[in-house]
Amino acid sequence: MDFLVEVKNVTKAYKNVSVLNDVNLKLSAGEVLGLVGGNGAGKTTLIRLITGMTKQDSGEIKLLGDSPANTAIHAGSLIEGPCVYGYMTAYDNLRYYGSLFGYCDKDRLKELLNIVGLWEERNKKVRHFSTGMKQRLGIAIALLGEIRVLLLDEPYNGLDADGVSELEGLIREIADKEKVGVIITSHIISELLKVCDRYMLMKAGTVVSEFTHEEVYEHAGDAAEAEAYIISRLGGAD
Amino acid sequence: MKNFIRASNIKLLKSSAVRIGCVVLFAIASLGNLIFYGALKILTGDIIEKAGGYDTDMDAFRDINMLDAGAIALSLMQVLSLVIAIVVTVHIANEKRNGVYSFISARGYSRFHIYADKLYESTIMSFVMYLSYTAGAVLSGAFFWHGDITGEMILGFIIMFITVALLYIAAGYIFTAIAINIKSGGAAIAINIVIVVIFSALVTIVDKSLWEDKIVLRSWWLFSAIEQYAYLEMTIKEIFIVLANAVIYGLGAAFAGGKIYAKSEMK
Repeated sequence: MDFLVEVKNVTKAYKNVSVLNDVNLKLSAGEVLGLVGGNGAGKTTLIRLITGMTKQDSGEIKLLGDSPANTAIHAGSLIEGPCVYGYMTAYDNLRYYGSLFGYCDKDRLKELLNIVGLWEERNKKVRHFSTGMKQRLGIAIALLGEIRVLLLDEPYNGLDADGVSELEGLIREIADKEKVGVIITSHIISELLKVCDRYMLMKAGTVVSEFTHEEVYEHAGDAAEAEAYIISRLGGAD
Repeated sequence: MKNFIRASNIKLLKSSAVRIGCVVLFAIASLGNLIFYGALKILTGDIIEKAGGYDTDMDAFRDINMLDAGAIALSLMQVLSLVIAIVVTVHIANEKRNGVYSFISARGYSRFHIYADKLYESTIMSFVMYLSYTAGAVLSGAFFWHGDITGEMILGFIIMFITVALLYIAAGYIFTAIAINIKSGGAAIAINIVIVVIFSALVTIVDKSLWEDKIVLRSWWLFSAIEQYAYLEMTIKEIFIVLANAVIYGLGAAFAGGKIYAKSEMK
């Protein structure tokens, strides 16, 4: 099977401090992979390496079978918040990035705004948007182009319960309908349980455990037990 | 790059900072001429001559036309330099803070593309704001004076307009090079303001100390050259000096800024 993302034995350090240590990861089409870990686990660094924003010290990363430098155009990302211009409307923000990435077909822009539920607010300036609306616009921007991989770093930050629920539905729809491979990072496990097919637990730059959603529920009866199980697997890896 | 230019045009057309900058500069130029007109009506020739210090050419104040007024306004342009510095720097600082460059880089675009795009945006912003200031100066000058205008004056004004425009575009490249490479937006604004105000003052002090009545260093410091050469009868030598300033400072800043940016870690 061809994987959308392959990370093999990757190591990364910043100023002699190890951030990632011998990390391996594979992502298939239509799969939602949750990266779980606390602050400093290396989740964001791993996402940045996959997009080619920064380079690993050793190991290999393949994005769509090639180096991220060549294929990053097909990877949408939402890392550390949406990059939107407050003085422009939602539609103009999408049109700006669409022009930048070479995808400014009006029908597609309309489709994307409909997918994220912002078509009715398209002429509203983004400075008047709620955090959740900005996050959804950020996802619409991330989906511009022929996206095969979507990388979402802590996308639930700042969202209320309704916003989280909407975003979870959206992510699942993107993976199921468009067969986009999604990597989503969060330190809030309960959010990931509703949307992920597989989980990769990270601690201090190392992958400590990996299992599918089904495997979690072999050891847990409900969401609370599933969360406790994952926490135990994360905390027990000292 | 075509994609970047198209996208930048969308952004700049919507930019409230650029629009406000243009309105403010149009108003400042018009207000400047209003005050000047009022002062000429109120003040006597003796006072103007005393204010001038020595050998003040009173005819210069009695025989003004709209192009003279435009040129006079354009010679008092430190405020224009400051507004351009602030608008360009704030524009880049906001984009850095919002993670726009990291996001664009994550889509596979190089730092060269990003930097070249910023230079393009700075060119447009600097020129548009300069145009607004000039329009304010000339239109208000026409309202208050008009006067007799010859074809030679129009040609002189066009030459001056184009050469000084190049100086402002070069200034924009300096501001861009600093804004994109300095981590803190506040620090970048401060550095750009210091360059415009403090350095120019120092150059003037050194120039006057060493060469008294001659203008030597001020011809070769970009922000002083703007003020020195904004008049209608520029000689070929003076045009050359202005163009040399634009090339040295503009291309120098663009090159140096790009080199530093290419080597630094993406924020």
